[in-house]
Amino acid sequence: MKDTRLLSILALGISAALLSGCGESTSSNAGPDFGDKPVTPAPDNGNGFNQKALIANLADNVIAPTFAEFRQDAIAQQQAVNAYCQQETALAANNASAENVQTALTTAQNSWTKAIGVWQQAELMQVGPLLANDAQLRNSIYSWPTVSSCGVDFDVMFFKTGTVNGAPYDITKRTANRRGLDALEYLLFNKNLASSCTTAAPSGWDNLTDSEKKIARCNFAVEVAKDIKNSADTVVSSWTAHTALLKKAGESGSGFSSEHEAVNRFSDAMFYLDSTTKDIKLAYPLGIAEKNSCGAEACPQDVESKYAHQSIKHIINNLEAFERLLKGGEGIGFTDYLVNEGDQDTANIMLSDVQKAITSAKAYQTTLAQALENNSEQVTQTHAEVKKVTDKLKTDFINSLALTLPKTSAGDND
Amino acid sequence: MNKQFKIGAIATAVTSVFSTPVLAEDSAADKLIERVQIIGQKQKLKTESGSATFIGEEELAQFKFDDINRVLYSIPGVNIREEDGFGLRPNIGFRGVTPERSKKITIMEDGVLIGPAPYSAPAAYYFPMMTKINSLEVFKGPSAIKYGPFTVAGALNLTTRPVPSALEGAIDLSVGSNGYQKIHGYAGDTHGKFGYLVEAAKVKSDGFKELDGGGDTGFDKNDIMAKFQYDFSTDSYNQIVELKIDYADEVSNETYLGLTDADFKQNPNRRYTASQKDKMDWDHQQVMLTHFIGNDDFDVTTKVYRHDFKRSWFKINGLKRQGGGTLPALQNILAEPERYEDLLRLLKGEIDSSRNNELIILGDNNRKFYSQGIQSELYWYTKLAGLKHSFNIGARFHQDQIQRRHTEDSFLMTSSQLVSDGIAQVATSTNLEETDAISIFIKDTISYKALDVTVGVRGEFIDAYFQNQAPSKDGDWQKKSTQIWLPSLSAFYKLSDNSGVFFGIHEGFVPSSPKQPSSIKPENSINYELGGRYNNGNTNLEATVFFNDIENLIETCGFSNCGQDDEKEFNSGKASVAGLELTAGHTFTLNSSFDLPVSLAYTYTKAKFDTAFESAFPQWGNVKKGDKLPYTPENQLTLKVGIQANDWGINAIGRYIDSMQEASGEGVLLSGVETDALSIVDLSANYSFDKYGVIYLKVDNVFDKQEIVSRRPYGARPSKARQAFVGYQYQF
Repeated sequence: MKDTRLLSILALGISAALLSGCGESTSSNAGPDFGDKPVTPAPDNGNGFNQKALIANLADNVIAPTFAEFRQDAIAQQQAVNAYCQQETALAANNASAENVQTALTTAQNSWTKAIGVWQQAELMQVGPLLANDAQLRNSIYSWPTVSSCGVDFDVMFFKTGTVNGAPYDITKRTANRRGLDALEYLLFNKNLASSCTTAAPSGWDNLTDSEKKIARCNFAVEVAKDIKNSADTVVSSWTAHTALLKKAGESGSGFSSEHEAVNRFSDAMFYLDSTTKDIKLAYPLGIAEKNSCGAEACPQDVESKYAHQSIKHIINNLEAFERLLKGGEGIGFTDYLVNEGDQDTANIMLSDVQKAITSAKAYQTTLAQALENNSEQVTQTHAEVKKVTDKLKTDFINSLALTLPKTSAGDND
Repeated sequence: MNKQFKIGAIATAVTSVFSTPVLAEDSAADKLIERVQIIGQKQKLKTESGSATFIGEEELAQFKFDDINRVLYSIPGVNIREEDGFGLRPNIGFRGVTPERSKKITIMEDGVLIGPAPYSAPAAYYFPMMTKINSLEVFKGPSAIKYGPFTVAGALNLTTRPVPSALEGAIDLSVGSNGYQKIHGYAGDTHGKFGYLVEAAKVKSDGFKELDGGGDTGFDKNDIMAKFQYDFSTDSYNQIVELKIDYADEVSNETYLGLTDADFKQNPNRRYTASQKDKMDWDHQQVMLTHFIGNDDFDVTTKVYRHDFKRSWFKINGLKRQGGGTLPALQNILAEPERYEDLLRLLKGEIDSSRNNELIILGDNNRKFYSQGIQSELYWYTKLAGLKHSFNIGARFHQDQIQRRHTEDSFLMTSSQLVSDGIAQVATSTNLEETDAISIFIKDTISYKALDVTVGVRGEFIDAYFQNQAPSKDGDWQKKSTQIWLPSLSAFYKLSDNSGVFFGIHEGFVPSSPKQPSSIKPENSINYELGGRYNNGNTNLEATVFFNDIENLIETCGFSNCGQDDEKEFNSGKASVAGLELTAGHTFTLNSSFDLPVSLAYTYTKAKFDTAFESAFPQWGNVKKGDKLPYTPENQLTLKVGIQANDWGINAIGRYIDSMQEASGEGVLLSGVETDALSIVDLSANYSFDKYGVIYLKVDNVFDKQEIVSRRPYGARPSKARQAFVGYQYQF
């Protein structure tokens, strides 16, 4: 019996010890390119660089002021669009002149041009909240290249009647390509009062008088401008919250496993210059790499901003935003990081190349669409200059800083 | 070298210890069946501590289900996320662990791991054809420690038909609605020392879903198996060798694309045009050599196995903007149809692709797997220090590999047809993951009077390797080694010949795959259970309460749950699962001609996170303490009633499954969204013409109730519509 008890106690003891004492152990070694291997943050080599400082400077001194400026422009735009629509309505009641309407419209158009100019800079700053839920916030402000003038025509009428499929009209629930700056461009700059739908026009549209059509469109423009202003408020407030997380990168609860991962989110955003500016804004209308609406040749109708004719200005703004992120504005930027990693050459070459591309784009005497029609070599040259920047971005920049390419840049058209 | 040494040492120990053999009364073939079919069937009262459930040939024959999900609903503690309605690629979990592709349970066929690559890529895209399965067993609690590598939840062992001891065979023919056809037959015999069995099955259906514009949404599955046995028994030992060869294939016009909730309400069986080219095409081969030797004091079963699996899974992956750039994921489009109205119309084929509504991307997830190994298991019964000991010791050397050659092609929607855009195919994932794993387990059941105490430990020693095989990615590789010891302790106390109580505690483990960085921790838990069972041969009752204390959950993203293919793994915070499993059964004898068997299985599960955390895993999001785990129904009930006469029988099964959360926390797409509660009744009836065979009639989902069983991978998925079958079975 003694043996029995001893054995039982021994068995239980062993088991209890195992339960409390057994741990798992894992060890690994990985190749130099293994995706998720921990990256050692770059040390401060005495020039004041560290990744934390880079994150803070880009978040506080480059991106936050851009978003704040856009919000101010969105407020001004809302006021200008309201004023224009009041004039359009007054004209119908014979309480305003056509000149008054035209002046107010021009002011509204200028306010849109100012706002989208800033937003084209913000396009390069799509980090955190702007990307959440499939870039819902970004698309609500500007969904290009997903745009639908026909969809906007439909929503003009939905808004006029106040209902969509029996439910009260609520712009925040509408498809992104029926709201935002792209919809507002169509409403403010398009002079053709016929429906743009290739199929049937929205019900009741063709029965409206020209004056009624203008008022219907401007009333909807007021709603769109208000929605853009509300979205701009959200951008500013959500960026403030996200900045706090970025600055805690590497700490528990930040959502970033390291500062390097947070830095990588900024570099991901800079790839807009590659996937959108270079490919969609330039290569696609040029007919390079894929067929466009005209086949495989220069195609003016495929440019961005075809009503306001601001395409080349958008490209300039994209490049300038890229340069601001690269240099860090007046503070620490990616060029400092490159220097810190001993790659002064890449820093110099990228700054020089982006400057060349900006200068070249500023030299346009015509719109991008006109250039495509009459001087496509100039557009091909701009594409080549932007490509020079993005080629460097995809190779030496990424490699020197041990950053990863965003998924959308893998297997692209280059 | 270590691996060889360990296996060799066990073999040497086995042969040197047993010098005075005593031959058992059972034949070698009977003994082998016992070792393949893990739960002994002879005892009325099972003395395993832990929920070990056995469903035998007779019970499976009552409904002849081709869908494993419908079988497993009768077992308490099983949680299932249905997907295609036929159970082609089941999602099975036990005791609240994620059911995703059954990747956290150990799935075996005839006692060996049957997943395509259980260590390297545990998602069970291959699952044995239910039609050929003769019986199955489910182990939870400490009894699962023997069957790794996944010990957090339990193990499922599916057993195929044994070689018969005399001439035996059957043919089963069935037709049904939705173009259902089944041909299933087997024949086997034993002549002297040589035995054989050949079994083949073919099951096909045109499918119950209705593709916009027409087309087949069904499947065609085949399986052929042969077993050859030779009995080498002598006066001293039972000894037998068996060779099993199996080939299986499937072509199914399945898709991951579901519906918006609004479209589901109008017609749950609709399928959008964009899924018209979706197709799974796989084949699977297995070879297994089994050796059994033993007598009344000991026995050793050794198996050498090799499985090869190839699949091409061509299906819609998403949308892409021409010229590059991303568009909303399919799941988002289906969850927010108003927001993505145009993109949804594109998926339905109502509008053509244009500059703005983009390309439809179809991916071929082409994968090649193998899984091979050798395992040996010893049972040894002895007395030490006056106590009866039953040792069960086993070792396994296992290797598996997955090669991914994923590609994507882009299509334009043109007049409701997917037409290639002519752009060259793009390679997406091109990589390899492989694992060498040594596992050992030791269990000792010490019997003292009415008490059986079992002490056990399992060791897993895993060497994993990942290599990105895309051009110029030579430097993207990882070698990873993981070791763990998983102890268990359990006890069964026999209160009488018919009743007993049990208790168990064991450590649960799920390894991370070779590709995952070592910062992703394996899943680890301590699992407790306490229960009692009663069985007098006519009435049975078993109740088990369980509690799984999970240190961190591990989840993997694939197309089937995240809608993306990066195979990224995520860790959660602490979580716990508590619950009650209850089974009861009684056979009422109405008179000498009629029996009325009634059985019930009920599960209550409360699965929650115990810490707050934020995760990018789409089923978690921003989790608060107390948030429920996804896809864990709180209540599940299955009630089975039958009338059994001498030459006819009728059986009905009713099931209720509570609604389930599609995501745990806030801030992810399906936050706050639940599946529908599901109530289903299946019916079967048979009439025997004695030696001229049996005709049978079955109706699955008698009341034709269809609910949303999940909104993953992309959109709402229905349970199977009503399906009726008629069949004839002749047995000799």
